[in-house]
Amino acid sequence: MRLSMFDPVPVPRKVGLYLALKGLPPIETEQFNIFLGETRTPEFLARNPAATVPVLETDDGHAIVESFAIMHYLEDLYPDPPMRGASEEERRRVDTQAALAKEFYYYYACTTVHTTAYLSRRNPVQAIDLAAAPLWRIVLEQISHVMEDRPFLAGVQPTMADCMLYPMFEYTLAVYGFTFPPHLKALGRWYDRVAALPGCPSLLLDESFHDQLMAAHGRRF
Amino acid sequence: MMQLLVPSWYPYQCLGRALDEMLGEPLARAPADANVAAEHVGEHWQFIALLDGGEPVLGTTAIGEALDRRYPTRRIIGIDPIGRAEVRAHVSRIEEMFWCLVMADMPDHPGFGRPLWNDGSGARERMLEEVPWRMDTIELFAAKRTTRFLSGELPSIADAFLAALLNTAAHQGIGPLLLRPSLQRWAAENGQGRPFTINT
Repeated sequence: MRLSMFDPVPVPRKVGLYLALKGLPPIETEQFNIFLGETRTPEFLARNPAATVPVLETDDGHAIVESFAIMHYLEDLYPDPPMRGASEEERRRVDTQAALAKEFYYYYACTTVHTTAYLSRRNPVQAIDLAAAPLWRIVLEQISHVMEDRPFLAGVQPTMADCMLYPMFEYTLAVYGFTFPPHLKALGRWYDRVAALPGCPSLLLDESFHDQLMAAHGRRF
Repeated sequence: MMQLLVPSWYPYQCLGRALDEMLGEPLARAPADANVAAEHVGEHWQFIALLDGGEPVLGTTAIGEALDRRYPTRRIIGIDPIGRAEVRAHVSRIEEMFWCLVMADMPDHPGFGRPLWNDGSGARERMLEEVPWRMDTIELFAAKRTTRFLSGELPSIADAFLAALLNTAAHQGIGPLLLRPSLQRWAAENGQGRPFTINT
């Protein structure tokens, strides 16, 4: 198998965290800078017409795209240790938390790129925040509600759900200036707990990252 | 008994109906009552949920996964690991567009009890800008389709979510903007009650 990644951005990092926590043998990995068009070459587009990372190429030549699908595929092949729940009850909780994690980030990122001058290509439209912020706040509250007092999102061990959410927070904290809603203290503690897990990869953004991000997504004044 | 809790908000009505059509039988509905929702899920939850006696299943992909385990012979997430990965990837892309439409519809949704954006703010249009280029991506994969449905000869949750997306877009008056040639063929083959009802 071979994995196409771009380590600084959050979606591929979900798979990176999953692999680190799952403990699978290392998979050959190649980096493709999405800001520099490295996923838009004919060779890459033949693998994934959507020009996104991550992409997992299987030994028999299939290209699996989307982090969620890649993690499930690897769970299908390597069910132990289980990262999507050891029982039906936990599986449902993992699936729920994973779905909510993705929904949170989507609402948050879509809002942010249109309301933050640094990230918006054109004049920011602040009204989007008035209307869309309730969506991601409700989703975050629901994630906290489902987690209850468990150490991880779906149980006592980290699962795919934690891999879906942690990189989203890691990135939004570093790049978007996200802060945890103050009443969701358990989520803040959960974040610190995942960060302290052995093997949890650190997000390292060098100086060129923000220049490339702005060139790709934002604008200078 | 498995029940869908479906809010009256039309994107989720479209999704509930598409799931029924995918399964070929209507899922039982939980009473659409705020107290029922608060009992089973967080008090602010206003989206679709699957109730089955235990913890509720929330989120569109989680509901699809639970239905796959409940109806294993329907193969709604494909058959083998590669096929299941393909369906899940389709779902992941389609649901992002669905959320775009949900966000764009926020001004018409009264449930959040707070000011929404003003007429003429440009917010709705800016949200909808996220949709066409994502639809182009779905079209790229649909153009490679060699089977009746997006991934196989049986309707999957990806097909159901696509039907829900197109019907939600039709509600908003932007249905034709979303349909690309391959997706039009998909809609012609699988809409009109076979198994989905798609209004474009």
